[in-house]
Amino acid sequence: MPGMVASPVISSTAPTEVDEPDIDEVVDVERPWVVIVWNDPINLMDYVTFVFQKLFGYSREKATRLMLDVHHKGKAVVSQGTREKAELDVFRLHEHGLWATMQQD
Amino acid sequence: MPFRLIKRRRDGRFELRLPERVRTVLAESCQGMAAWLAADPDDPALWRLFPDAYPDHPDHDAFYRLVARDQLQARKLADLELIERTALADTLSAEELDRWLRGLNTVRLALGTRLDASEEPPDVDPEDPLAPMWELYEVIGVLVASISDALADELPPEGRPEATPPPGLG
Repeated sequence: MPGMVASPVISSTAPTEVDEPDIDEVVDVERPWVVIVWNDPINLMDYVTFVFQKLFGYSREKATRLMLDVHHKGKAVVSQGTREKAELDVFRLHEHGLWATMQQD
Repeated sequence: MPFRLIKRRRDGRFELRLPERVRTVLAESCQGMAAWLAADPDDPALWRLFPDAYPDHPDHDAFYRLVARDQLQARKLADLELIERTALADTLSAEELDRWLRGLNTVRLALGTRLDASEEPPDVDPEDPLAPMWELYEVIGVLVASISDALADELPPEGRPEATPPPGLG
């Protein structure tokens, strides 16, 4: 299994800026990372739907379906990509108070 | 809703149709929330505001917390402070309204965690000492839903062209 070097991906300057990967960083590029949003009893449906539209540019319809997946199934994959991208998405979801985590697909 | 809490004006600003007493309570709640966050950011009762990112990778998660935590806290404090500053404003810009939304949701998350709120509407005895907290929780909920709808109306319903949903979504 390729070595995984833990390193900070989120820049310490601003949430929208991401550090260039370290030249020495070894990343398992074969498996994409998925971002999961978990159901919680507090966040409101209208709010979650709006956050999905706002952060990911999904249509109202798709954002609503995703939100309903979270609500009925307990969780849903809302985005995927490199570890960098997924971590930034998680951060933006945390900024909006959503319970989001990431894992390899 | 019997009437609209948020009204978009032609100039793109938003009217917040709330009585002054409600605005004052909101400002005080945000002030209290900000004080709590600033004083005791590691309070376990605030865990819901700072969730894990990597449940399977403690090393990655440790680094995420190290860097993201400060930024998250700063953003939440800034949102709360903005609500306090603009609590009595007749109109808000779209950006301010967006930050009201996040700030109010932060307060609601903290309240809901404290109240151990479930998805079901609570059956609260008016004599319950927590009744005022439940009422605030509900009022903020109505506002969060209203602002969410108002801001969602500003977004293209068909979404942005470059948005690619994850596989499995039609």
